[in-house]
Amino acid sequence: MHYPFESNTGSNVTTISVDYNTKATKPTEPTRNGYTFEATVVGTKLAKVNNPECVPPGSLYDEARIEKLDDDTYQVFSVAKMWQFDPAAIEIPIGSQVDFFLISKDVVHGLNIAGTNVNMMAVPGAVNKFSYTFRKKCIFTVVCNEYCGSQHQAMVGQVVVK
Amino acid sequence: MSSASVSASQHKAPNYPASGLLSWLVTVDHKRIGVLYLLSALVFMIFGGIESLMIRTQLWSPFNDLYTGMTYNQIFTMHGTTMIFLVVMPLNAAFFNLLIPLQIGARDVAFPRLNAFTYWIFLFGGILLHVSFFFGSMPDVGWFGYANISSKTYLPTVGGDFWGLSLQILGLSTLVASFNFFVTIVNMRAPGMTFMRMPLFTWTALITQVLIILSFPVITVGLAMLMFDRTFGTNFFNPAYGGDVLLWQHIFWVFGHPEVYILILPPFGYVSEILPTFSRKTIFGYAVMVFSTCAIAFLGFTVWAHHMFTVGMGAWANAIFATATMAIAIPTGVKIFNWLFTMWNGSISVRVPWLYAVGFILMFTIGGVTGVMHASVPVDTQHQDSYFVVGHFHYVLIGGALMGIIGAVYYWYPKLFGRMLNEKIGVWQFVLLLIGMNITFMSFHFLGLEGMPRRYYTYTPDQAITFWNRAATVGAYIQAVSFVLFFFNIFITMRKPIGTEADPWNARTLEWSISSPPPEFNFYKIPQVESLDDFWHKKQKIGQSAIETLTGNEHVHLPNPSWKPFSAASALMLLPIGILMYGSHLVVPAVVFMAAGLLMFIWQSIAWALEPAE
Repeated sequence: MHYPFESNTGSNVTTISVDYNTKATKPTEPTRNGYTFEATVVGTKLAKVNNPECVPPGSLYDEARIEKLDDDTYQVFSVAKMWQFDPAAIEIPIGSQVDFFLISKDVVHGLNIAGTNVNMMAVPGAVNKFSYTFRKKCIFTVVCNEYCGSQHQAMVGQVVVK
Repeated sequence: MSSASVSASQHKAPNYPASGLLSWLVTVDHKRIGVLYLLSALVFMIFGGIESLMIRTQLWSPFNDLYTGMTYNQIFTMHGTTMIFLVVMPLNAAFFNLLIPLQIGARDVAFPRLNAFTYWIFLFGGILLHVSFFFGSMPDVGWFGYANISSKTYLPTVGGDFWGLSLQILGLSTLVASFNFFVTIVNMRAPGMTFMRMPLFTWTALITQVLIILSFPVITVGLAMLMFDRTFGTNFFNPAYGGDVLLWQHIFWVFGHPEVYILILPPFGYVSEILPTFSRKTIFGYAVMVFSTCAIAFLGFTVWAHHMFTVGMGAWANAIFATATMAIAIPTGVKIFNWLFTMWNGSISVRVPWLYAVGFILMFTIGGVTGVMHASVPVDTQHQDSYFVVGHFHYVLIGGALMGIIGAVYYWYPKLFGRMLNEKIGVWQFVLLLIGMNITFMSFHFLGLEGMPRRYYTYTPDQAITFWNRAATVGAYIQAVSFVLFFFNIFITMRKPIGTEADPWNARTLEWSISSPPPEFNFYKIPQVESLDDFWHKKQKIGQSAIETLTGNEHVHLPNPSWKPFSAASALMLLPIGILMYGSHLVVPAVVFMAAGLLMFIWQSIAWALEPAE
């Protein structure tokens, strides 16, 4: 299991990986500069990763990245902005499950992998999540399907399943 | 009030023009206001149609550079906004105006001057939207103007202000009109016309007014928030300061989904009037038709989030809205079957309005089937914001609503203008329209399945979507020819002399019991209603003498014409102009305009209230 943490814009808390059924130790609390100390927050749960609805808006991640959890599970933390996807292209082996996370840096975008069920709206201030298992060798086109301005039709990406 | 055995012109105060162009500015007659609505909506339909041809011309070939992105974006925004708010809604409003009083045996609507006022602000709102063209910055955010691309940051031009303010004005017009029609139907039915003896068009009109009354305040609030964001720097939809982008989507679709029933329920009514007339049968399952209309209206408020399946609401919310959406198919399916059973074993006469009614059933069913497909979340995630959805709503709104409306124009034209539209041209128009619509809108489905998203102004040759785009463009031009025939038909018909009989179709409802066109006071003697399809039953009993002849001698009570609706509407229009200036940092003239508009509006309203009505 992998537990990324939400640090509420403070210093980074690294993801912990533990085996199933074993206990994870609590990481050190994140710190944040520029704030005066008022009180310790007690008893607030650390954010769960698999439930983006529960995550405070816009705080799960900021930079696009791809994480390989195991041989056939990937997490893609993608960022949509005018008028590009980041990462613009990903390459994954056939049969792998991909958890797509999606945030927007500016306006509402869409992320649609044409020919699949993956169709997510990138909402500024929130994180969207969708999981999909790629079972077909194919080069999928990723399109922005939510109108986002003058270069809307140029906002494309690629998913290569090998 | 005055007693009369003569024409209504005697009742007019002498200082008001009784005929000529000026008389249209002061009219409070529901039939003339209906004609004004009809004319304005048809003019706006020419705009909307030309915009659709521009869109399809641009998409004729890959890498087409007829327009750049932003021009194209302005065109599709104007096309959507125009077709919904300035074409289909006012066309329905035209028929509300023209038909409701006639069908319920009343002499006018409940508030005739308010009725005129709603028309004028509708017209001014529509003009305001189009004035943005002269500033070179038409709105370019799509017809649902999703936050936050409609914010000042991402849309700094005045186009967004024009869009929001004109929709606000149009919403005001619709809302005020709906109260008027609601009161009219509830209070002014002829003696004996119980709710369950009301013609089905009046029923769908009543339910439509309820939908408007409940849903339009929501968009009014949303547009006010958007206007505050844009003009005064609030942050309702600005995520950087804790605003919520999704709030706009919820607000918009809480209004927007009932809105599609506001567009389609009146055409349900037209079809429910046309089919029994040409089948020589009473409507199959009248009570079920009434209650299925109510059920559609009720469920229409529970399904808005099916427009938002991909925003990440979570499985539970998606499942609930999916189920509610599927449930709407039940009352709608009931209606389809009732229309078919109305024709079953009927003695059908194939006339032009009947063709349109049947075309409506066909097209609406195709659009409805794809609608049920979208209700399923996994299917919807493949279609959301693709051309498949565009195909779906063009089938229900153009193939459905607009087809029904054109059928209604053919059906009631002799009643309203005393002249029959040419039926040969009507058949040609119908055939071209049916073929054109199916070519265009069916192609949209294939484009969507190929993965073409909405609102793309260009594409590349290797995307394999050139063929279906070309087919759609060909279909669009076929439809354009059909509409040219329609306008040609109206043009040649208006040159014919008035001379249609009162009841040319052998119809069933009260409006056919009076002369064509109806006298200004509609009914010389307010009819006594004894059953559903009262006029039809009276014809069976006493033959053609069921048709009213102008020999009675009753008090005819008609309101005076008035300048006040027009002048108050004009004064109200100074307000959005002021707000537009404020948004462009012309503070002093803005305040002058707003203050002048407000004062003039208050002054005109008080003068309106003090002016004797009759």
